[in-house]
Amino acid sequence: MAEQVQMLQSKIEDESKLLQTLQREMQKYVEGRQKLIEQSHENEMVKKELDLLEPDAKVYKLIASVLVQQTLQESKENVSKRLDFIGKEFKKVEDLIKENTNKQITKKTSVQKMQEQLYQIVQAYQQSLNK
Amino acid sequence: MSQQQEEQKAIPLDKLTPQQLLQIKKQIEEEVQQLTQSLSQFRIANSKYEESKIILKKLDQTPKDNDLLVPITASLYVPGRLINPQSVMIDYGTGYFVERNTEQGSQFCDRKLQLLKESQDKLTNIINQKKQFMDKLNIELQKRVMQVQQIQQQMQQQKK
Repeated sequence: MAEQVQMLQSKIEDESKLLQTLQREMQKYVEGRQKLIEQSHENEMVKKELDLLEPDAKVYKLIASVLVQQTLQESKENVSKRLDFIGKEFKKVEDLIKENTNKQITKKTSVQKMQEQLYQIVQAYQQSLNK
Repeated sequence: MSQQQEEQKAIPLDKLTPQQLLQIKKQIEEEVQQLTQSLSQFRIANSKYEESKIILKKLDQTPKDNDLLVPITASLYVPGRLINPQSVMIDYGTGYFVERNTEQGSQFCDRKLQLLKESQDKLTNIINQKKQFMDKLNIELQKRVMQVQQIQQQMQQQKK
């Protein structure tokens, strides 16, 4: 019985450590998702403002410490591309988050089962002692 | 946000233990604090845009070739001349700048102020909803305290 108990306990420990890694991963994903939302908002606002400009408006882009003139067309395309990219990244992160949640659920259920097993073994042993 | 509230209402408050009620109360208090901080940040952004509008109006009135001091660094200024008081460079965000005249600059500020106002209104709404919920929690907690007091009184009377 002692062997069984030890085995179960070390398994539970291992699974709990894996669970913790999953949780840390999840935190990173959620932070990344938040940043993407912020970037998407900012780019949306810029796109709206650019749409209000007349075609010959002077648009400049900040590259390093230099303001370089761009055509309105170029700028609009650039912002659209950025928004598309952010959208794709966002979807990726959401999928990763889903996957991580499912993995966490499976791990938690397996840890629970093992804890129940442990409890039953200890109970059975105590009962056998009382007889 | 409203979904969260509906979930909390779905569990009737009188079925929760006092500890749970206290826990929820602490949580909501923290949330309200954070949201109020965000609200004050909104006010700061508001005043910045209003200030920009005032400066734009002043620019309109400054004559061309006016003498001014140009900041090169935070502590170094260089004398210069105002060449074109009508043209301003606006930071649109994500590294894009646009050259506009003072009128268009002022309109830009107006649009931003409008966005800010809408967000502020939404935020104030949410804060008020949370405060209302906290009031309900407090009423429920008071009920529990009174219940406990009543039971204690009854027990004392029985001892006599």
